[in-house]
Amino acid sequence: MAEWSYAAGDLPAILTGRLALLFAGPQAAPTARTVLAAARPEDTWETALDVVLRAGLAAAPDLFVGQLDGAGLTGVVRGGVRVTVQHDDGRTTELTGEGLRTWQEFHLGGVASFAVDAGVAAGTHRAAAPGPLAVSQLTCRVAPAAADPGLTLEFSDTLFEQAPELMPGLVAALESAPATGRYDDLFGATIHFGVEAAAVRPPDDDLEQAPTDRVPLEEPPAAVSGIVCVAGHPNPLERDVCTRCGASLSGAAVARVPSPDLGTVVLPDGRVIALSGTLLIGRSPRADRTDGDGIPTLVEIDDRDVSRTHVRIRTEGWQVLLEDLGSTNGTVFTAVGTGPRRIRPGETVLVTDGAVADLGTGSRLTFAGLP
Amino acid sequence: MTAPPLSATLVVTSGARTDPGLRRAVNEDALLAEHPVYIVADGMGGHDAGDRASAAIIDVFRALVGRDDLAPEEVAGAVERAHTAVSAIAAGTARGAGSTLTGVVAVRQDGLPRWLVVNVGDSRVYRLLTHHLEQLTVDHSVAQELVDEGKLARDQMSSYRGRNVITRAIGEERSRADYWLLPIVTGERLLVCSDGLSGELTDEAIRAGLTLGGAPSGTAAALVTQAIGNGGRDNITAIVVDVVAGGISPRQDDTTGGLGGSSASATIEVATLRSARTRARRG
Repeated sequence: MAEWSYAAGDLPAILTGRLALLFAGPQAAPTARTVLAAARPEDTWETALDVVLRAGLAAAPDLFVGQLDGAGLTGVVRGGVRVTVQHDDGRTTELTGEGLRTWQEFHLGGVASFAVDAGVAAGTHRAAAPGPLAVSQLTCRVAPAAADPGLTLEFSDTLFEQAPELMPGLVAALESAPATGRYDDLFGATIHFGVEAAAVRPPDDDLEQAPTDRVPLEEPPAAVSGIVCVAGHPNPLERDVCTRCGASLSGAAVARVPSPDLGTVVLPDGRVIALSGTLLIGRSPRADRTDGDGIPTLVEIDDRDVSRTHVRIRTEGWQVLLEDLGSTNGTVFTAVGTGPRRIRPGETVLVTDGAVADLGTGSRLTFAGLP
Repeated sequence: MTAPPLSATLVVTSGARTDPGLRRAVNEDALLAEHPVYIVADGMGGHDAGDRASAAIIDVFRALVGRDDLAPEEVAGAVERAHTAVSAIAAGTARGAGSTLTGVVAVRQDGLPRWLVVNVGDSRVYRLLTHHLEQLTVDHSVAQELVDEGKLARDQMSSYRGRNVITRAIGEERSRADYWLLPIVTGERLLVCSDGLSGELTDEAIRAGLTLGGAPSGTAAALVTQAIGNGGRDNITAIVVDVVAGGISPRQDDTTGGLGGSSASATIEVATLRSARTRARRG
C-alpha cells in the first residue's frame, strides 16, 4: 500500500497507482493530455515515456515518470524537476534532470517515501487544461509491506472523466487561470487520499460481475476522450480549434465520445480496409503474443518484395500510427506536402490524411479520410 | 498481383491420442480435436478437481465445434467462460483447481482463414512446415522465465527441478491468455501437446516424429508412445493437425525478412519474447 499526497498547484500530474507522472514547463499541459489520451493499462514507465517522447525530445517537457512496484521505484526525471527519496535505512537520494540534455534514469530499492517537485512556485506556469491533478508537489509514502504495494489503479479512459469526482475542487482550479491568485490559498495545503480510494478497476477485474459482462463481444465500441466544441463536434484532446467548424476549443469540456472514424487504408490491389484497432500488413503476416483485447487484423499482400510482417498500423484514440517492423526492403513514407522519407526499422510515424507508405516496388498503402 | 481468394474452402485433417503415462493413476489431460477447435487442457488439483477442471474447459469449447465463421474475439470470449467454469470448480475444493489451456482454433478475418493460437500455462503448440519446426507458444512457467533471463538453457527445461511450476492457469484470477494469429498455410502440420509430451521428447525428436510420422492419427499415437518409452512421468496428450488445402501458398509464407526471419531449414525456432513481468522487473 502506498499513500500519495500532493500540494495543490498548477502542474499537471497523473497518478495511476503503479505509475506517477508530473510535467512542468510550457509543454506540460499538452503532454499530459496526450498521455491521458494514449496511455494504456499495461503501460510501464518505459512505455509511458515513449508516449511523452512521441513529439520528439525537443518538445518533451520537464518531467517525472516513476513506477512503483515490488522492485522499488524506477523511472526518469528531466529538466528542473527534483525528486527526494527517503530510503528505509535513513539514506536520502536527490535526483534531478538539471543541466542534462536528456534525463536522469533511476532504479531505487528500499524506498520509504519520496517527494517530487518542479523547483518552481505555483502560479508561474500556464494553467494546465483539465487533468486529473493540479499540483506543485507530489509525495508518496510507501508502507513497510512494500514487497507488494497492492496497487490496482491502472490507466483507463475513465480515469480522466472521474478526476472531478475523485478530487473535487482541484479540477476547477485547473480550469481557471492561475494568474488570478484565486487558488493561492490552496497552495501548500496537503491533501491525503489512499490510492485504493481512487482506484479505477478495469471491469474484467471485478469478481462481483456476472460472467456475461465479461464477454467482450457484447460491449459497445470503445469510447475515447475528446473535446466537444460548441456545435457538438468531437475533437482530439490536443486540438485548439474544432476540425469541423473551426470553433475555439479553449475552455471546452472534455467528454467521452464514440470511437471516431479514422478513415481507411487502400491496398495495392484496391482493397479498402477501415482503420481501427491494429492491422498487420505483409506477405504472410503474423500477430505475435497479444492479449485477448488487442488481437490484430492480418492483411496479406501478395508481393515477393514485401516482408512477411512488414508494417503495423495501429490506432490510438484519435491517431493512426504506422510502424515498420524491421522489413527487409524498408518502408518509404510520404505525407502530403513533404518529400518521401525512409522509415527506420522499428520507427513509428504519425499517419496523416493522404499519406502514402511504399512497402517495396509499387506496393503502396494510401491513407484516406483521416480526421 | 492477385487478391487473395475471399473464401477458400479449408481442408484440415487431424488425429489425437492421450495416455495417463506410467506414473499417474488418472489422466487429468483432456483434449478436443473437432474442427475448428484443437485444444489441450492439462488439469491440476486435489482429488478429481484436476480432471473436472480440464473437462470443464473442453465443455466450454465444444460450443464452437462445427463453426466455419468464428471471429478471434469469440474464442477470447470462450477463454473467459473457461476461467469462470474452472473458478467455480476451484471454489468448491480445499486445494483449488486449475488447468492449462493451449491450442489452435481456425477463425476468419475478412473471410480469410487464420489460426488463432491460444496459451495459458505450459502446454505447447508446434508448427512444422517442410523441415522447419517452430514452437508457436511461450510457456507460462518458472522454467521459461529462467530461460528468458538467460539463467537456464532451453534443453535443460525438462530436467529443471521446478519444471512443473506454471505461472498462469485457467481458473486463477488475473491469469490472462496469450494469443497469436497466423495465416493458415497449406501443407503445414501443427502439434498441440501437454508437457507430458514436450517434457519427454527433445525438439529434434518432435521434429523427426512429425516429419516421418505419416497420417495425423498415427503420428499422434507414435509421439505419445515414444514419450511413454522415455519415462512417461506425466499424462501425455498430442493432437496433430494437417492443413491439406485452403490456406495460403507455402511460397508466400517463406521466411524472407520481417519478423521471424530465420530461414535455416532444419533449425528449431523458439519464441523468446519476455513476459511483461520480466520486463517490469528489469526496469
